[in-house]
Amino acid sequence: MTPVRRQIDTLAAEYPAETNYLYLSYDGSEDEARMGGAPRVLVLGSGVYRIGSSVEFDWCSVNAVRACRALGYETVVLNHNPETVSTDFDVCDRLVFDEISLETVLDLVDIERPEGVIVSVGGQTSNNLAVKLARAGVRILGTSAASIDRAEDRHKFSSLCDEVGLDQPRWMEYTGEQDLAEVAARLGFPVLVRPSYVLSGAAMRVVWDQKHLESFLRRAALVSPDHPVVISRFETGSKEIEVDAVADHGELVIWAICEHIENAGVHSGDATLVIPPQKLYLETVRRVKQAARLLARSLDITGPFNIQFLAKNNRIKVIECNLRASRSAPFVSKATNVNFIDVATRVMLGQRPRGLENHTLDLDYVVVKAPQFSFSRLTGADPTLGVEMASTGEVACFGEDLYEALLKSLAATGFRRPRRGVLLSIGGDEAKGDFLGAAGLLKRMGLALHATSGTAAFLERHGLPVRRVHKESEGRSPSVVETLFTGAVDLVINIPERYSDQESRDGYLIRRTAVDLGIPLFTNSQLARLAVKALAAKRDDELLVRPWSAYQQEAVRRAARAPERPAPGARPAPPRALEREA
Amino acid sequence: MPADWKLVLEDGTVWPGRSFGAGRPVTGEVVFNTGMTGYVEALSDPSYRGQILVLTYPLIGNYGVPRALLDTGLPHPFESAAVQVLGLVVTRSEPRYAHHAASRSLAAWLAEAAVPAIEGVDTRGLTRRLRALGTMRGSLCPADAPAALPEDTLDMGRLVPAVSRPGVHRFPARPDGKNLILVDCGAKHNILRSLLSRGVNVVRVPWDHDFLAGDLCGDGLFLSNGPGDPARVPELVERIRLYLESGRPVFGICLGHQLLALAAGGRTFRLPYGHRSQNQPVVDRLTGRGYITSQNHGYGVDAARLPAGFYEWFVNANDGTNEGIRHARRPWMSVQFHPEAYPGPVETGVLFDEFVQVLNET
Repeated sequence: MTPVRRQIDTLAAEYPAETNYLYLSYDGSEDEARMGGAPRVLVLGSGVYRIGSSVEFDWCSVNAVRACRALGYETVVLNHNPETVSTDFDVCDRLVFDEISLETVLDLVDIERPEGVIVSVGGQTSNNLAVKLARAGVRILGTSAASIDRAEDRHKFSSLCDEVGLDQPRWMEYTGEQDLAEVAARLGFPVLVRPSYVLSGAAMRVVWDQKHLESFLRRAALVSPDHPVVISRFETGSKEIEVDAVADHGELVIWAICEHIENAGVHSGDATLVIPPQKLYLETVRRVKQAARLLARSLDITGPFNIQFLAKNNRIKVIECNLRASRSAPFVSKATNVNFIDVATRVMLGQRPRGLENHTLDLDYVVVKAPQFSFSRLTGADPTLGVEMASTGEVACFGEDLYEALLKSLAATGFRRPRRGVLLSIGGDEAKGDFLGAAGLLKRMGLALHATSGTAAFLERHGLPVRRVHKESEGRSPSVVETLFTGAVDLVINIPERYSDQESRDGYLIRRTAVDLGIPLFTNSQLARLAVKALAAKRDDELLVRPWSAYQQEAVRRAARAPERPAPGARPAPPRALEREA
Repeated sequence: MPADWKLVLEDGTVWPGRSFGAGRPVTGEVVFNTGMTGYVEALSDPSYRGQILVLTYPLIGNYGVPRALLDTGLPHPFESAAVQVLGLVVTRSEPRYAHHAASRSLAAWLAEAAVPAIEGVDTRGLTRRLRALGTMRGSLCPADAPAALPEDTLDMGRLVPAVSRPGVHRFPARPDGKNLILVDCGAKHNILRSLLSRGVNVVRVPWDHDFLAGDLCGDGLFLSNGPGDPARVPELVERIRLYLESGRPVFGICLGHQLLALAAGGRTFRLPYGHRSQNQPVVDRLTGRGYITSQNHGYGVDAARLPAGFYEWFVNANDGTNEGIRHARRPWMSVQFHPEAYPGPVETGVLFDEFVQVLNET
């Protein structure tokens, strides 16, 4: 039983509808779509926008469609989100506005008889259909469904990593039958607890001790052999690195490496990304690239993929590998001026572009992608970063250096340079110590420092006088909230002691009040310190507002001049962007 | 559920479905309406008399059929006292209606009125066909009925006598109000309501009443909507022509518009598939202003042969057909669309204001 395609038509057929804007119906007696003669490609879109799957995947879908059309294919898009560009009727030859499910795709394949289906540009929803579609005999373009499954399935991926000698954070599958204490002892706290099939960080939680592990599993998870919970070692103090790449039959074609400013533990969708990396050892970069090559080859990847790594002291661990376009694909495409999706689509259709220039480390500028949060509109939500994604958008900006790029990105997400005072409330001795230098910079910038009791005591001990304010639980005046309401503070830096420390009411009140009053807020130590350094290093009038094309043209000019510079036989200089971590 | 009933079209196509309503075979003209709501008003609109109506909106009956509320003595929201359509074709008739004013299901209302209906039909496909090939005759009949179309259940041309209510009825509004003669060719109740609410006393007369006799003390003439071909009621056209000689105000709606055009010397013609919906765009040719209107007609006034002294007042923005005429000097005007709405947008209700003002000034 096959449905028919019907036109979406606001005049109910009173006048012939001209757009190829379709939906499927089992109710119709005739198919209304106009078909062309060219071979067809079906592209699965991204579906509804939600936190974790948004316009970045729509960009990927649209660029995949454009590449297909440029190669002479007729394109059919399946997507059901009217907010997207891929559901504009002029983007593809036929748009089928219907749910992205196995049934719909199979029906559509029966009707359209496409050369193949692209499942790797619409995010996780469409990627999840790969195995089922392949089983039903549908041709998946690009990387095989078996490989996709091998990367998605934790057990299979783990044994693959073991096979090729890649390290992973320790993990276990807890089915409710093992002794939890034993599990915890083998992994060591803290641990990350999550369902076995990853979907954009849903229902993940970092747990720091046995008691909380037990209570979390009791409250938040249905645990059984059929619904196991994955418990993995949560690596603190590691850097997080992302690689976006395209491979062709296992051979790396283009790649880009991004560094997270925040240490591991912040969801990659909420992290501030930098390209080219600023603080990675050359050796780390080499190993990351090697790992990307290895995975591309062993998974026989054809198309886009993304790998997330942890890095600590030159040791890298693979967190996950997605054989699809990632959230950062548009970002790295803009930053490196190579359209990764265009390349990936051509590769998937067997037409690998020639003469591709791949720049990822030797860019003549720095690009920062900052998350945009909507906490001010989510009444009562705790504005803090964790393993669950919370941002609703992102902004990327170019700069001559990291500081310029970061300040521009922050400004674009609503951040304003502080003029009056900064409130500091930093949990934990280590974090306090880390922030000492930045606190000094703030002071030198002429800003009044306000700090909560513990932070104030620490800073004063180290020779930084501050105005002490009291947490709400201390019940004394002046309290943090009172101070924020006076308008004396125009930047709040509140670093919760632990990523999952959401119970602390005092911290919550500081963060929430800041958001409610529209005061810029940092909750991550690494980002806060870098932002303070950037504020100290650059005045606002030093931030150049230039179009994207200006950066690209400059890069082209420099590249043209480049061969004149090194003397013949000289050793190539290490990429400018790399510096050793202090 | 298996198909037990069918719609057979003149072109031989058969549209199987399931019977609801009265289960009585009928034959007539098959027309479609694209409105999304307002089936109670539409089904009780006398202009649909003799026609099998196809509703393109896929769910019909969701809000049931309301109790009649008496509004200026007329049952609201019904447009006449009966179900007027000959038959009804829908994709799905919803038996579980929900509305605070509902008193019975659509199926029950149709059954009471002895009107047959069919559901489970691909009304979009059917509409595409009617739209492409033009309005056709069709028959609603049991699935095992012979394929040949029987004779029309009603005489499709001359339907006005069938819907016009007998007897002269006076509807007073205000003692000092003007008196308007409403010629009932199948007038929708809301024309009456629209006039009464503006302080006009209405004398409703049957289509063949001699309103020239003078005993009615009419200050003006109002020609109502109605079914069928305007050229099939020549005696009424002639009477209107004579009335125009008096120079008194005249306003026509729908069939009334066509009758005025004919009486003044214009021409009418049959449209290929008519205008039946609540989103017909019309443009006032003098001001360029656009309106969204409710329409229900299968005949139109030929804009190329307008009667002497008349100019084109409104034009349809979709297909350029005439939507209204007005005399350059005399107080005579008419529109093809329905300013009384019901169902549909009420924005051209200002035309009643305009006509009542003209009436009051003469």
